Amino acid sequence: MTDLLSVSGVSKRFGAVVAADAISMSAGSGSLISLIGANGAGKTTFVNIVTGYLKPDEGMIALGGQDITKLTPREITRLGVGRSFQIPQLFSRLTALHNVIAAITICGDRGWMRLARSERADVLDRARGLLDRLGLSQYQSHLPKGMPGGARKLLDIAMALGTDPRLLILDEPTSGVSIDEKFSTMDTVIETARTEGRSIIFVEHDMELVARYSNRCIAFLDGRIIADGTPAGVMDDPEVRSRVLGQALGQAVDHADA
Amino acid sequence: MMRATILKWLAAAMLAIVAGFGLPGWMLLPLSLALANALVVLGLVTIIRTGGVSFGQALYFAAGAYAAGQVSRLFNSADAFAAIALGGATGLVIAAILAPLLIRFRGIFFAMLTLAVSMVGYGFLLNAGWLGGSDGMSVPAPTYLGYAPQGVWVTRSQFFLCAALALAAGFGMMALFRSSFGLATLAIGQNEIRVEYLGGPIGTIMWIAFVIAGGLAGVGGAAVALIIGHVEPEWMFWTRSGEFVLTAIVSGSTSVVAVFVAALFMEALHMFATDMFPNMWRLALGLILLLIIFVAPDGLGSIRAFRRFTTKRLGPSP
Repeated sequence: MTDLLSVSGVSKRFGAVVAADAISMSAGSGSLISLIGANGAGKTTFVNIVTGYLKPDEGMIALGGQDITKLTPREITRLGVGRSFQIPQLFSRLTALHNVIAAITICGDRGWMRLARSERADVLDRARGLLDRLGLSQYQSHLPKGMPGGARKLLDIAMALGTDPRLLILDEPTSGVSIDEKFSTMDTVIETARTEGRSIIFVEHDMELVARYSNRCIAFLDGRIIADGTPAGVMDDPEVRSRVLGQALGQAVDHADA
Repeated sequence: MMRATILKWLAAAMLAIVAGFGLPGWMLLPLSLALANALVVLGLVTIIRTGGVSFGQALYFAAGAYAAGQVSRLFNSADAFAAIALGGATGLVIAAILAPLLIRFRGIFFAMLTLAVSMVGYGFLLNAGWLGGSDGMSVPAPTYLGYAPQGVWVTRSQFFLCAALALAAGFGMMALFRSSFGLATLAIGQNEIRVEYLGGPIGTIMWIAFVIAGGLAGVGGAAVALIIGHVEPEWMFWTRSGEFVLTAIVSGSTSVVAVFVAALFMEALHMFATDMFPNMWRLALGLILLLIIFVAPDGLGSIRAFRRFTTKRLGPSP
């Protein structure tokens, strides 16, 4: 069986900075993978390379056996990779419901070309269903600026889900979400995506969330993968403990001081 | 809902018929011009919804007008429908050719480049002897499938033509703006990165919007040429594009009906202000624009009281 996602020997340099250094990994369908690492370790670069925003200098990326290394984000999205963003990318002058309707119709097969009303029954049902499952029903006629930060994050994820992805990539789904909402947010997102049969890769700093919501964890350091395994196993890795978790702890202290 | 929509359009058509038979010619002439200009603005609004403001719609407008003038030379008849069709096709084809270059640019660069291209066209017209050079050319009075109106019926026929075009374009564009395509254009105007990550072909959608705008501008230009009976290079000058942009600012991009109201308003303002204070009419125009920017920065279509009369919004923009 071919892997859903297969990354082999991918490197990316920005001048002297090596953002990705011969990264190789693969993920089968049904994966639930967390990416950890300090800021600047290369997690977002990895996400951006897989989704086609950055082109790797070397290496190859395949989705379900198909080479996607040189494809644009648009083409990769159409092959079934949906992503959310650290800073939600929404349509600021559309209501939450129409944000999701736009996601569904733009990605649907020739959906944007259809001259039928955008709010036709099947699309409307799916959009409402997505908002409902993510607990956003109360905001459906709100503009993004009238929604709390956590709800904007969820709306961003709802739009990624609207593209019906095989692989859902979430870039820090809980950043900007208040501490007491982090678990409920992740509960909702992971459950929704899992019941729809999607594989998930998420970038996360909170080790508690990593341990609870992923069954595989990949640790990044200086553009390299330094550990790959079960969350518990990765967190016990001495290099991860000293270089990643220690640093994360240090940062947490910095934040507390500031 | 659907029935209410059709009834409103039927009411508009009835109103046009009553106006066409009942109003005196001196009122029908500016009304016809306003409706024809509204077609161009409707196209411009389509582009504005994708995020850019074209400052060069006069190019497609004047191209349509010149094409309408060529009909009598080409076919040895001055049929209005042929002129409109040829005008629309000319605007559409020119837009289709230029769009791949223009839509690569955003914001002020898009505005300046569309303006520059239209000024190249203006320069071409000034030097094109076969199109009359700087004098322009006359456009013979149109016939309608063999019917050649006389006296006041010349004006009435023109009005019916413009009203029919306006109704058709208004109905069509309203449906387009509410469709999935219309939503996609709004989405591009608000967040291109997201559209890219939703798998949306941004370039294709923008190209289509630009071509539709070019076609509508060509139709509008052809209609104005038939009404005025003369076309000259000034029609492609950038100030003409500016007038379309001003009308679009007054209307905003949230309502099709607002586009027509704004076009009528601008024509009326132009008519009365030039008549009553000929040296000050630009001042009046400026003051009214200021007022609109303060009271309704998103244009007439965004005013709540206005919306109560026209529930026909261009898609879901709140």
